[in-house]
Amino acid sequence: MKGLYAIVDTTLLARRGTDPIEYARALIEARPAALQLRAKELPAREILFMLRALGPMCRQAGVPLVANDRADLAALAGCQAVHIGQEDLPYELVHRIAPQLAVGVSTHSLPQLERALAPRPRYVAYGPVFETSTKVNADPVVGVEGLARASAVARAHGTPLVAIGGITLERVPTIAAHADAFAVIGDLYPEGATLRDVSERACAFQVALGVVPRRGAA
Amino acid sequence: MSLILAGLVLAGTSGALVVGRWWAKRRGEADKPGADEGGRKDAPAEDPDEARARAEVEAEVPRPSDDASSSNTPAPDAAASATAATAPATRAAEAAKRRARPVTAAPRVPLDGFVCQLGDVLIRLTGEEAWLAGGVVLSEEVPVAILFVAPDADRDCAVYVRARPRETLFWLEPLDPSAILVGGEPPSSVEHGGVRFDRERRLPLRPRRIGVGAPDVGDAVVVAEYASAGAERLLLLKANSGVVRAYRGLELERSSYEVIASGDATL
Repeated sequence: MKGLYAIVDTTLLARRGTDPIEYARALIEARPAALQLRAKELPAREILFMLRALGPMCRQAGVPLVANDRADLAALAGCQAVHIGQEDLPYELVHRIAPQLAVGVSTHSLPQLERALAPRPRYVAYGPVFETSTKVNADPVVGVEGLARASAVARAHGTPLVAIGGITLERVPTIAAHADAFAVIGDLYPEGATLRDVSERACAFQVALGVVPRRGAA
Repeated sequence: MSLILAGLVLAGTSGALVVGRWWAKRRGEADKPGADEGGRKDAPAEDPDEARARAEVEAEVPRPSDDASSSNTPAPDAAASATAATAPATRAAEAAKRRARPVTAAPRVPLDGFVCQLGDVLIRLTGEEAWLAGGVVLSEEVPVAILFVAPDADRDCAVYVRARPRETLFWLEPLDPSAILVGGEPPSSVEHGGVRFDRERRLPLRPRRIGVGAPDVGDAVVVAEYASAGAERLLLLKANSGVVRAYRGLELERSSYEVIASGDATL
């Protein structure tokens, strides 16, 4: 896993009146390292509908589809991975129930990171690295130094680290060395941007992160 | 004379044929890997923790297909690479084919007539959800009820379903069984939490665990169903091994919940 970890946040998209599927299609053009559907406020049936719509697009483009929080819906939709937080169904249980799912775990402190790494998840996420506006009740900012420390720990375990929280294109040079992938929500879709702009921006992230974008229609 | 001789030869031949068939049948039965009993002995219930969990998942996976064994691996990529490393070109090609396919678990055998199946997600009108990750299929000649378990980050719940005499679903939470048992046996009526419950059924059934997290209730169990005057229900499972499980909750109207079917997509 290397490069842009693109997040389709339905709350943000609803505010802008943007169709999540079309938005995801625009992101997939940049062939991100992963595409996550984050739909905190949608009912399960709608999340499942979206995951099932995104699945074929992602598979065709070779982009892993990640469901946020919901291992059950990830399994039902045939996603490749589920991203779980500290308050979700624990890794061990998810792995036992749905062993076909790769699991990524959100962590916000070094002790949490150490615990999360022990069962060898597919990846660990760490942050927020910067202040973030897209997450309600965000955890304390870990900063670039905190990310660097986490990076050393994750690398020692051989597990990819995804930096989360407040990641922007402008900040990439300061953090690019400290993680394998970078989760981005808001900065992929600045105010007034079109879906074409979103594709361009996603590609720009990939280039900034040292990934040569394999562009093409999804 | 020749007629008598011919009759004797015919009788001898057919007798040998019957004996041969009987012998072949005996051998066939002996060669079977284990009918009911043998299968149960191989079940992982006795093994602790990890091994048991793995075997529980395996128990749900149909044997004949290759995909079934691959579904048990932690990650599809890892499974593919392991296969490729241990076998020549054909296996490598197979692994590549698998990589290209959508990542799904093996198809499972549906339990006919039940409103929900292993792997389904139940959603109540009140907002609660349950992922039916494991369960105990309770059978006489055929399955008559299933007690599903649904793990949750906060608290686990259980869902009990029957197909006959009418489609029934109880949404339950675990309970201390000592609050129900009288002298170690399920009584004909019981008061719990200020509600009187009368026993509606007492069925000796054969349990089979499926999925992950199902309680171990041995190989024979008495299931007692209790109903209040309203929608409250109690359920008690008393295993021959001495294990007792109890649950309390509500019987739900069909219109008060929906089932997101897993189809072949999961578990």
